Amino acid sequence: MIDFSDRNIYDIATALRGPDIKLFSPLNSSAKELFTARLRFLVGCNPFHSGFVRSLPRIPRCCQGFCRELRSLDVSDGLLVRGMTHYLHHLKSGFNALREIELEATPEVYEEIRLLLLLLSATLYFLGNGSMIKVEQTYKKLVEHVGEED
Amino acid sequence: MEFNFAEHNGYMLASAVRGPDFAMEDSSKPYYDLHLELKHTFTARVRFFLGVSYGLCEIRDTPVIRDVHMATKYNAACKSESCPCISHYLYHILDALIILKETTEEHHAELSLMINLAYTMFGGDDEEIQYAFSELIKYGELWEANNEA
Repeated sequence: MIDFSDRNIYDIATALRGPDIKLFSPLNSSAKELFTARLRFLVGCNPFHSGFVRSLPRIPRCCQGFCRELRSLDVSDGLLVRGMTHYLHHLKSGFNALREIELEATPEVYEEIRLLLLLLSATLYFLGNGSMIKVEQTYKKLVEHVGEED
Repeated sequence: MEFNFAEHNGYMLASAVRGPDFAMEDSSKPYYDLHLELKHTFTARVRFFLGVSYGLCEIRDTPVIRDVHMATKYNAACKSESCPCISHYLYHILDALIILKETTEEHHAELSLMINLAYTMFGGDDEEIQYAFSELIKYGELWEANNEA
């Protein structure tokens, strides 16, 4: 049985489910593949049970439009922004917890986690005030570190 | 620290720990706080069953339901054009409840009522949902009366 009384386990658990918002929007899919699917892999989820699991660090083709899709998000749609914010906050806590637990990971993976956390922070900042600069800068750094799928 | 999210049950239980992402925007609507009532009815109770003890999140440690208008608000929200994606949230809740009932010895009567409610919310009509919710509320009231005596 998983020990859900542990704060780090709680934070990881709350980050495992994909977003409950407009399921078929491109941003929904790319955020899920970029963040959730990677976190699922890092904590050992099995794709047979948990759906998308991203085993490779490089950015898959389906996520490469993340910045463009985010920029085209209707920030006046309060329902969408609040839902996205809730989802991303839990992802941030989940990735933070990965840095606290004893994860069997290389320094490269820890750097990837750090960059994903920065990208999550930048995305939340965008949802708050509409500035994409940090999102684009951080996404570029992430791509430099992990590469992109052709 | 041990955890196993690789197994189906571990993953599905964990996926039900987060509350719903959607939140209603228009506070003039009667169902604007539906997400909070869903969280109170389902997530907060599932967290208790799983032993979550993180102080800042809502945990419902008794079967008593304080927000008793969830079904009415749910029915109203489902008829609105801006109905959020509740089904994804409910799908994960339902799976976790079924696993809890199959794998634990306790709370079977309450879990059955919660499972029935979640099932009904997927495909039942307004009256069926209202009835399933009222049964769960009654269970909580009975529990409270027995524990007061």
